[in-house]
Amino acid sequence: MKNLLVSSLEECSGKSGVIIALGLIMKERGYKVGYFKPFAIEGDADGEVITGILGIDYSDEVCPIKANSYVDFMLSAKKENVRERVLESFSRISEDKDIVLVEGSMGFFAGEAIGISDVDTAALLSSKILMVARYDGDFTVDRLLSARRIMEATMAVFNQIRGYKRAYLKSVATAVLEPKGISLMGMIPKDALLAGMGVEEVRKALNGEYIVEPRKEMIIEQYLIGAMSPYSAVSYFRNARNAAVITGGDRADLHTVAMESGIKCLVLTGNLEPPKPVVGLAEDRGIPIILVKDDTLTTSEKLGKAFGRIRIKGKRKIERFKGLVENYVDVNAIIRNLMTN
Amino acid sequence: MFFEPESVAVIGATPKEGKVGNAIIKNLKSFAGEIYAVNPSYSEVLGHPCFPSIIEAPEVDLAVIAIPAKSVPEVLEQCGKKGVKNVVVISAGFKEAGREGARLEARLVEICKKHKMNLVGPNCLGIINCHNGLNATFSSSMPKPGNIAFLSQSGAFILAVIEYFNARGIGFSKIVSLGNKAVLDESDFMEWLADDRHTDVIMLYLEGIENGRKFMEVAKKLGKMKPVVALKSGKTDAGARAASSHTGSIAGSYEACIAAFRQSGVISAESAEELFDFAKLLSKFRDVRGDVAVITNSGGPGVMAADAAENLRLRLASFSKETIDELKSILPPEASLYNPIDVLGDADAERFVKAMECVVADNSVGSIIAILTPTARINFEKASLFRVEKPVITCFMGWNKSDFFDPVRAVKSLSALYRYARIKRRKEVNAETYEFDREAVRKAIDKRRPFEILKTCGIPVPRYGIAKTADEAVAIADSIGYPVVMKVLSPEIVHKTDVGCVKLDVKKENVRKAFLEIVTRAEVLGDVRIDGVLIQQMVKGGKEVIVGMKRDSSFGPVLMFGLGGIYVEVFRDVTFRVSPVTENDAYEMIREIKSYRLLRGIRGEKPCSIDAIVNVIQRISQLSLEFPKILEMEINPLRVFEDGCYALDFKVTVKRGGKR
Repeated sequence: MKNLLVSSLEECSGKSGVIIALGLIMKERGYKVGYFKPFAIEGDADGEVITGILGIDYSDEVCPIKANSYVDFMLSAKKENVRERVLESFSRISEDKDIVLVEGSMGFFAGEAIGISDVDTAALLSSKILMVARYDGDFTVDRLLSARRIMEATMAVFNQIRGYKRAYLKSVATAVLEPKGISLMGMIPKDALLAGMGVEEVRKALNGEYIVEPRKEMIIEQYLIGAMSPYSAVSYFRNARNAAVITGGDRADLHTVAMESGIKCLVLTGNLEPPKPVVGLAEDRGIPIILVKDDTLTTSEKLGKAFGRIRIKGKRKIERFKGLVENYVDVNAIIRNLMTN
Repeated sequence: MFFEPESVAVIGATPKEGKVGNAIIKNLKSFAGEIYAVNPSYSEVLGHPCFPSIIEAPEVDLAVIAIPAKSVPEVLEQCGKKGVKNVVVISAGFKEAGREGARLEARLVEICKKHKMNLVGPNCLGIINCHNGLNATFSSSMPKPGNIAFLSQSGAFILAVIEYFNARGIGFSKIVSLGNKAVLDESDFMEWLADDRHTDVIMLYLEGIENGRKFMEVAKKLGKMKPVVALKSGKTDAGARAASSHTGSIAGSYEACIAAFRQSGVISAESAEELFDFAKLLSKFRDVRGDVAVITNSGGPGVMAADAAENLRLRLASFSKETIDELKSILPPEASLYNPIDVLGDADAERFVKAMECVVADNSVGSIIAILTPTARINFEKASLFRVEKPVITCFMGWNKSDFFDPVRAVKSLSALYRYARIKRRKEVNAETYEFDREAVRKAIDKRRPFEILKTCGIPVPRYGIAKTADEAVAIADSIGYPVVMKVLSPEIVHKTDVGCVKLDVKKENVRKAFLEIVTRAEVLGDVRIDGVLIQQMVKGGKEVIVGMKRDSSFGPVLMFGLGGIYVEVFRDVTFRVSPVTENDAYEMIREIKSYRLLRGIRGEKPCSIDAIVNVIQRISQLSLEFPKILEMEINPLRVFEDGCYALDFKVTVKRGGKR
């Protein structure tokens, strides 16, 4: 049995996504895959969700240490007991498994106070390490290097890379990372679909009501504000992908133009119901209409905030992320690395 | 058969005053064929036999339905079973009334398809044939017979127009209230009216044209036979909003519509008044050859007419020596013998008529605008007794039988006649087709390589390359030759110049620095995708124009041409045509913009190659037709020189496939 600790530089880096994708790929290749998350804060549902997706039985041992309040836990927990429980649970979780994917905490340092940070876990379980680093600027490279100072030789994956940077990072990997014992295993591009949210999520975030209900699961990748003339709006709408348009309920011209230009959802503001023919047309085309009480500006601010808290949820997103990992991460190299001692 | 039925059934007929079903059956009083009422509550309605359902009635050619919307599908189904081929649905409560209504309307369409029935409406006033008394509407007055057919998307407007025409003694051949156009639309009736012997002019009032291609095809043929005059509303944003909220139709843009009218030979009117003026004039005169002569008894109105003529690009005729000599013998020596002719304020009707008859004999004269002011010597009645074979429009100012009061309005109407004459004589030519590698274009589209699309289509582009690192940038610039232009490649940055992501005239030593500056500036903008930097051969000089295409929901690809550069959004000096754009169309487009003189070269500048632009317009037109996947594209700028042109920037929006 081998285990891979998937760690990260910070929260929301894409660890869960990488674990789900790797788990599914490894399963396809015939490996018996297990999942383990030694330390989490109460309310973290990753364990249930990921085991569910990977088809693994869930028990409390998947996530043995759950802290209610970390500040209290730091004072009450005994380092030795904690480590013991982690080891015990892990040995049961890893029974008859070829590979166990171990998910780190909120960042590689979290849990340090009670001796259960990712660094400690890796030492405890003799894990190989895969760092997931969300690339939000060139200094991400430095943060990765400083993590390496306290960790074993690691593998790394950059997540959410946009555009031309890929060409540079290949050189950075050989010139800067490899000499310091970090092997770059992949660069996952930023993907609009993964950053999107379902129509129902949009409605909930805006506290709106349906004038026309969605007929099927639809992911909204971006939102646009409709305030221009219909002629200019056409180009703007056509350039958007899986978009919702936020506009006043009285802009019938924009409603029809939006529906014609491939917009996936209309969010009508000011609690102004659209004219009847617009509703008929939306029904006809299966385009949901959400009516909200706020004005257009407030609505777009609310939706903007909601877009910042997205998770990998739903079949389409999982398939999509798996595809990205297959294309942009050297899964073979990771498995090879895992299998060598 | 809509207009010549032998029997009509009014479904929902009732003896109750004030009901639609009552008004319709009353309006049919002068119809000579059989009239049946259908209503389960009566055995007879206003002297016509009444049946519980259409099934029980004898054979019916035309059914008029005026019952609540929810019952219409069932009744329509019965009509289908009965074998009724033509149906008018007056009832409202369909698409215009929301989702339930939209569903009901969809059912009507299905039933009509199943039984191969024609249907006018729903939500309409009905139809009228003024030549056989068939008034299947609930209008309050009967229009007079005449030779103008009127198709209107607004039923209420028809009522107003009937009153207006009745008051002026003008008649109609057929009137159709199109309603929601669920099955039959304007094009279907236009096609039918082409062969209608009672119709000489077709007058249209439209808010939206849903099937623009069909409309153009029909109008092109019809326009060669009879003039078509159209008023399209929903021109401004406010108008379009009003139109969408009451019809819910996704209609083509106004620009596309006006371009389509022009290309398919439809004369467009700007107001209801113009619509009537044009239709009225074209119902009297069908052709004109030669220029305009203006004859008046007073200088002022003559000058007004001359101004209007020039503004509308009508030519005032230059008379022959013989005409001038004859005018000299008719008119006093102080009279003005040249166009406009002033017969002077002391002229009587006889002098005026003589002058007219003299002028009309001149070969260069095609039409006359006769303007009179009420001087003490003139008698309007007598002055109107001229015998002239060519079109004459009267402005006998202050006389109630005059065609017009305002000379400007008279000239405007006359211009419609000249427009129609040009339409009739216009030779139809097919657009040029160019040979290019379609497979390569398709690949370039799929790979999102805009410049490659242009290159493959034979549109000249400067040498270019895409760099992802500063080292690559230097290598590419070296191979292109200096100086170069460098621009960020990012789908999310629209105005690249504004954010400092474009560098012009970059020399070898500055390429690396420019690359880094561009990507750093782009990164500062936040969460934007940066694909690299485009490096392009620097093209200097020339004039900037735009060639674009926007796919319209109704008319398909619409080409745009205009002056380019950074002021384009201020001047909006642009013009439109629906694809395919012929060579003539392309030349016309270029000549039409206000900045045409700039392209010709001013103050000793060298002229731009108009042929090169025409070539690009036609190639873009062909590209838009062969690749429906392209929703929009724009070459901005196209830099034009004396001997050719270069596309310096090209944006293209492609329809996203179902697969991701």
